Amino acid sequence: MPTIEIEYSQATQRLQSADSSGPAIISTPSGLAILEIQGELTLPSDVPLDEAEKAKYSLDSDGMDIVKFGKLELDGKNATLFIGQSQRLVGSLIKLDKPLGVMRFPETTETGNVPENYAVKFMDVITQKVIFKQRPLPIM
Amino acid sequence: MDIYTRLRPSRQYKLLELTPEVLTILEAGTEELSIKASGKDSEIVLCSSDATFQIRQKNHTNTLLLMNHTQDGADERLVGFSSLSSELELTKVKGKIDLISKIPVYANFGDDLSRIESCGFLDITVDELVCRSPVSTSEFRTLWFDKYNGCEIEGKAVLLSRGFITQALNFVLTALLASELDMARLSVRDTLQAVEDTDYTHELVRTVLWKFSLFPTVNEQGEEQFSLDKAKVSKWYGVNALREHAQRLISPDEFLIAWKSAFPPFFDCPIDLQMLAGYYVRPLVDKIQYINLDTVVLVEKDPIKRFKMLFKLQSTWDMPDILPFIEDLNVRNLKIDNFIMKYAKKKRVGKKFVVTGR
Repeated sequence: MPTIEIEYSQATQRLQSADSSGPAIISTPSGLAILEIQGELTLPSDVPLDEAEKAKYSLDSDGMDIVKFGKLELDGKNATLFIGQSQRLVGSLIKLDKPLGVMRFPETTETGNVPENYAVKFMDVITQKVIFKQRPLPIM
Repeated sequence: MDIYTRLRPSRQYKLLELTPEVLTILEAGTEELSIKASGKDSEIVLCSSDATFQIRQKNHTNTLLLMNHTQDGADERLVGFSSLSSELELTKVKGKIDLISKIPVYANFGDDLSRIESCGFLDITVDELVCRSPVSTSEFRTLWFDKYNGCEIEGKAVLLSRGFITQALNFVLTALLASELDMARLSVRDTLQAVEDTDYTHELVRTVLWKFSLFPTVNEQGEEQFSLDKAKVSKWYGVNALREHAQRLISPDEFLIAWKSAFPPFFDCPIDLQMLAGYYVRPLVDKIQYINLDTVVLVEKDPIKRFKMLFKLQSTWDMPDILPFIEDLNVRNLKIDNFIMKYAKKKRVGKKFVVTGR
């Protein structure tokens, strides 16, 4: 695979359409957003069996397991992220220095081989992100 | 709004920092974009039709979530579907043909493939070579024809020696002069007809036209249309003439006569020693001598040593004459005067500037 064509009509369509009324200010019209947190986010590897715990879990539109890990509040450019019951992060919505192209690569097969008709896609271009630069603030 | 993330984030996504050039291409949507690499472990590049960008991975330790924003009535959520620990960065580079040293070289006209004189052994077509080179199509063609004398013979990518090209150029020019074709509007087909020799294939004529013309346009029939560039032809014969006299010093006047007589009969084009800057040195005020830029000068990458070597060859240089010998060293793109001042002295003599050692 020395040369791979990139398919980017989706990104072009998005960039050319004048419609910029996405669901909200933090995402692109196609609904993509970036959230950056300093440090690592530790996630459970499986959905727990405990009924009380289960409330936080659900499925996304692709049928994948998802977990709720926080709540985001936006006030203009200022953002506050509450994680769990005890942590609060203060951050902001910033414009990126360089726009980021979202590329999607095909899934590699289990043997690690590259599938046939290997195609790389540009899905969208993102120009801003929500970033939390400061240390978490505990909530009593 | 509630924030979710997948328990098993997708690994299919990458974020690429876009340069203004690439963003413009994405917005216009007409140009091809591709990712290329010459081998498994070699560098990876992004190519547009005429530019090459190196792709580098910048790792970071933050958690960067790529999220889907959905709103269903009052239920607004962000769902992270991919977690990224790196971003890809683009740097514009000059495309190159990594495999060039493995391409067979034709030394003489009429050699058959089994008698090729070189260490090259790669048996691939030109199209395959384009695929396997980290370079955009347009840059490839310029490098392939202008720099390396590339051609395709019997379906194989090959390089032609200087002697081979000279012989082919002589023949094509003579045929063109006899045919009275318009040298500013040449197609490979018309030129082949004028040449009338079965030894001259479509590819060979195309190499000659690419090499000695301005960048071609496309005519109404969809063929490449070339305009012969007399300066390129003139320079080619000039370098040939210099090489013929490489063993001794020659006066500029004597050299200009040798140069003029190197052209095919009735081919008229301007000659000026200035066109050959970078191919000769002037060890004495009124004598010049051929120098091989690629094998003698450019191999020395240390600017201090390079300048020292140049002043050994010639103690005083006219400003334009020294440029081809040093331009590649100016990697930080300084103003060329300032770059020269770092390693040499610049003096004003009459109306022109000369460069000397410190």
